[in-house]
Amino acid sequence: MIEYAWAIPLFPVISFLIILLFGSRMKEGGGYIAVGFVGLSMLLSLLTIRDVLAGGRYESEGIAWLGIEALRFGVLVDSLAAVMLFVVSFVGFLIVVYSLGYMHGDPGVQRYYAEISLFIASMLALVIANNLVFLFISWELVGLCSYLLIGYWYRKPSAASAAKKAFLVTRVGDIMLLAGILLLYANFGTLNMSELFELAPAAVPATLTLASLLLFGGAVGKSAQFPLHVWLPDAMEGPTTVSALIHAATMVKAGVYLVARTYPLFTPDSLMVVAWIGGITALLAATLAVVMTDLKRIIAYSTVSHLGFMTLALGAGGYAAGIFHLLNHSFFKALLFLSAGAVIHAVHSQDIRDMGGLWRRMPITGTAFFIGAWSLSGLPPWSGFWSKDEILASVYSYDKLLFAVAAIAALLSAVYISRLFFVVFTGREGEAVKHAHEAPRVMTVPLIILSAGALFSGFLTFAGFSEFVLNALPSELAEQLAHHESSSVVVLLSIVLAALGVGVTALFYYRPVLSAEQVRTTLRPLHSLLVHRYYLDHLYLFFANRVVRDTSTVVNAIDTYFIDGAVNGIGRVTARAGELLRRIHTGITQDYASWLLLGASILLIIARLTGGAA
Amino acid sequence: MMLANLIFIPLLGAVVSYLAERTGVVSARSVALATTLLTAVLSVVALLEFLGGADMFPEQSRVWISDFGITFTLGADAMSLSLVLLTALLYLVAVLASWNIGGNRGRYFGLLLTMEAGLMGVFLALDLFLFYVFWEIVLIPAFFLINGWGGERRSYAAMKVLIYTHLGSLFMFIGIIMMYLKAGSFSFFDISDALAGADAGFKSMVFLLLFIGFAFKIPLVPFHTWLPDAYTEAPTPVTILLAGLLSKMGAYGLLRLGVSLLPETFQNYAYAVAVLALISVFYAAFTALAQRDIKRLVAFSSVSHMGFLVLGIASFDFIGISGAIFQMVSHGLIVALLFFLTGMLVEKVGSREIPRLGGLITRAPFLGWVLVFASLASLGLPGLSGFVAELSILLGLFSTYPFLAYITVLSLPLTAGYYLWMLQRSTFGATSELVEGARSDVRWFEALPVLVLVLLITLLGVYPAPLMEMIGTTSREIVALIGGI
Repeated sequence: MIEYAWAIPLFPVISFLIILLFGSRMKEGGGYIAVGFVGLSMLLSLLTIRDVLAGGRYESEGIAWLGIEALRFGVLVDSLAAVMLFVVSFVGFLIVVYSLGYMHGDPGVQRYYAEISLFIASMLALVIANNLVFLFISWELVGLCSYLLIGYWYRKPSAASAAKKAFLVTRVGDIMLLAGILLLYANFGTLNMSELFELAPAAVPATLTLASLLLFGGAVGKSAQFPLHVWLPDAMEGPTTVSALIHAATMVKAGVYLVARTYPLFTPDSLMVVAWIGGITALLAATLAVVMTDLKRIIAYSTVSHLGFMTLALGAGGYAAGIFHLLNHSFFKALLFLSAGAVIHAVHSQDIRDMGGLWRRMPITGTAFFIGAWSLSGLPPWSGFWSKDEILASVYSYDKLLFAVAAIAALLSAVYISRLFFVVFTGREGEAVKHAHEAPRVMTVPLIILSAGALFSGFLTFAGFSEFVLNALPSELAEQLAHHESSSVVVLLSIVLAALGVGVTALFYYRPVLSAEQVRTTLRPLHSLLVHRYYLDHLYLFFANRVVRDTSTVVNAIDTYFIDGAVNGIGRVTARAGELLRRIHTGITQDYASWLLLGASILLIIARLTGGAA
Repeated sequence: MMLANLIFIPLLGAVVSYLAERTGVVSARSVALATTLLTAVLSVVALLEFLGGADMFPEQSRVWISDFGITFTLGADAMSLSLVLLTALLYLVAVLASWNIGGNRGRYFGLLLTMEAGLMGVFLALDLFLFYVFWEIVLIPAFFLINGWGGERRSYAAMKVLIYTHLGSLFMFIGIIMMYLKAGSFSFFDISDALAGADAGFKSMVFLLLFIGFAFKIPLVPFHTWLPDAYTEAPTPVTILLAGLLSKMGAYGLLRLGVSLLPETFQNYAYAVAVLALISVFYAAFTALAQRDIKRLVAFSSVSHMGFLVLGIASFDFIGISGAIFQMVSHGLIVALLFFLTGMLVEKVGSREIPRLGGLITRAPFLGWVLVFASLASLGLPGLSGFVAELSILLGLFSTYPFLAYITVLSLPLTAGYYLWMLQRSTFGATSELVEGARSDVRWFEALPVLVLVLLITLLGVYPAPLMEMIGTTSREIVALIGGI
């Protein structure tokens, strides 16, 4: 079926069009149509993946989109694309099903399902694009859907503002990606990725470094890496399903996927930047997740942190580890978001201080969250452990300082997620919890399926996941990246750190021997720095308001008073001159005669003064 | 088919609609609609003939005023035809948008159709004197339309347009006369031959005169200040035509005269032209950010996008020039949609002031969502036509002036910024008092042009290859002038 891969994104496009045109007359605003077509898309993806597992790789010839050869848009399916196809279509399908329960009764569901369909279509197109411009187009459409879905409840000013912020911040990354694409085109004359990979080894390293860093700039925006991560926590203004689908499982992975997809273009220099940005992101976001009190924001910062881990892995040469974590993270993070959604649905609050003791009232949701949290914490034996371990191992052999950064971030992961779990599900019942009850079946079934994924996807490592993923790279590069012996020191350290994190947190929040309040008071400056998110948002706001908007005010003033003022001034002077000249033309002969005499006299005087003959 | 029909039928329609309203036999607007429909059909026929391989460059030529070497020569290549089709389409939109225009309708539609004849003439003339005559024919009705049917400051705006663009035409006219004196003929082809052997200083002089003339019309900063006033004060249908078509006259002229007749000279000045265009892009984008009136915002955004177009021309690269011609069409469609919407806003809601329109989408979903669509199209969202143009222009510019291309790219978030900020304040958020009382009914003849434009913008964005390949025939010839592919 691999040669029909081009049809995978088309199914959700069809459901987008149907829902857009006729959704208002359908049940659930066309939700069942979305489920059906996304389901078909998933089936075709699974059949395609089966062919890839059997050793297939497929690239279609494509169509000349702009009438030139360099922009021939086709489909490329290899092992890397297969992993991503699975994540997007499978997790996407589960989330659309879950939406039937979660979005039930919302007045705008038609728009919701139309936008979700378009999102899944664009995301699938992004995954199988074989041309960078094709990828870029899908990339931007994905961003558009994210914009529309974050601002889904557009009557809320905070949602409208968050949507704009997300679009503009990622756009900063996007222009770098675009610049990278232009640079590659100017140097290689093609934008087909397979052709680029063939030409790359012969290119000037400096050019490649610049081009790959520009591409990475796009990834920094989309995958919410430092310093462009600021949009993701705000994006939580959208429905929780959107957060799960777009801002945890799929879209934010697009940046990581882009780096993996264009990996042969990266040079050691640019990979070092990638690794460091990833490491910094992982650590910074983890520290923020520790102090937040909004349920969704904690998970959002956790997402940023784990995206940092993936980026770090790719930069440090842990190609397969990074992709492995991408897969595992999609399961446990979607699971965490969807169970958080069920909690929010039940308690009508997002502040974790209102919650507590939810376990008894929502056992299925609680269990699902527990599984997700365990997996994320990095404690064995569930999925998060295996990929985190591989990442730490590759970073260990890459750079010791970066390894320390990653290890602290891993410790903090265990801290914030266990804090979240203890505060929400254990302890005394909070005010908001009193009337909570378990979510409907259409929501719990996807939770159960995702739980299975979060539990078992880690074991794929024993089924040759690394070798499978490395197939996507040119063979020399793949061989280079294949050797990563896992040292027992790293494994042990990784387990000890996670256990330490969970244990210490339990002393604060499960069996409160220690007081978090006291720590906050002692470390007030640090706490204040974290609560203000390292003041990065302030810095950007300053730039937007004081630099961009003030420039705009000044330019507008120049336009109004100086340039247009000059035009009007010239107009006035001309009119005034005309007025004066008009007065001379009185129509009285005697006046004209006087002027004539005056002129003649002046001429005579000038002639005499200059010494001419008179 | 005769291309001349594309000029004479609107002219005839102008006379008939003027007389119709006076005699009261039929309404002027029906005549205008019939005329524009017929013109549109004929444009499509011309396109089909061109695609069928007919050589239309030139199509016909006859002596007009033999003593001065003036001929009536018309012809069309892919660039002309793209603009002819755009003219035909936007005139249909404009006529529908004028359906309930006040005042003397006979005079109004008469002027509107006279302007169409002039526009067709500009895009088809291959005799420079004829070109100049049509150029002026466009200007006069524009003046009377703004002056007669405009907003509060209409006489100021109309006078400003008249003086400004006449000043521009004067430069252009001197340039044309200089070329005539050299060639002894106004024919495009004779002049082309004569200029090939002319000395460089002379050609520089001519080029600069022509360029200033077109810079007024496009317009490029700092020749632009007539535009915000004109676009804002003109009635909606006229604004659609001003922004969609009249600005393209400048760009068309630059390519047809400036670049095609004086390729090497243009190449010498290309970098300077590109820098000026780049200044336009940023200057207008920053100014747009400061506007409170949506119509003024779109006006400045239009200046910014025309700067983009000139960057494509200045790249002197096959894809870049194709992108510039594509941008003529794309920008024409998008800006027409945006101005059509601002007209509807005033009619249904009663204001164009961004802060007063909060929550528009809640009360008037159709209007709100189309405004979102049009803004996204204008900011260059992939999948819509504006992106295709911008991408091609950037690809072209990058291969010629990579540094300028990097800087140009920086303007993209700025454009996204002012549109999204406008949407955030005007369309989304809590509903304002004014919007609470808005009428949300949209009648079919209001929705029809909107839907047609939306469809075309999407189609050209999703699959641009057919139009791009057609345009490619023109840009290939232009690039061949300096020995490119």
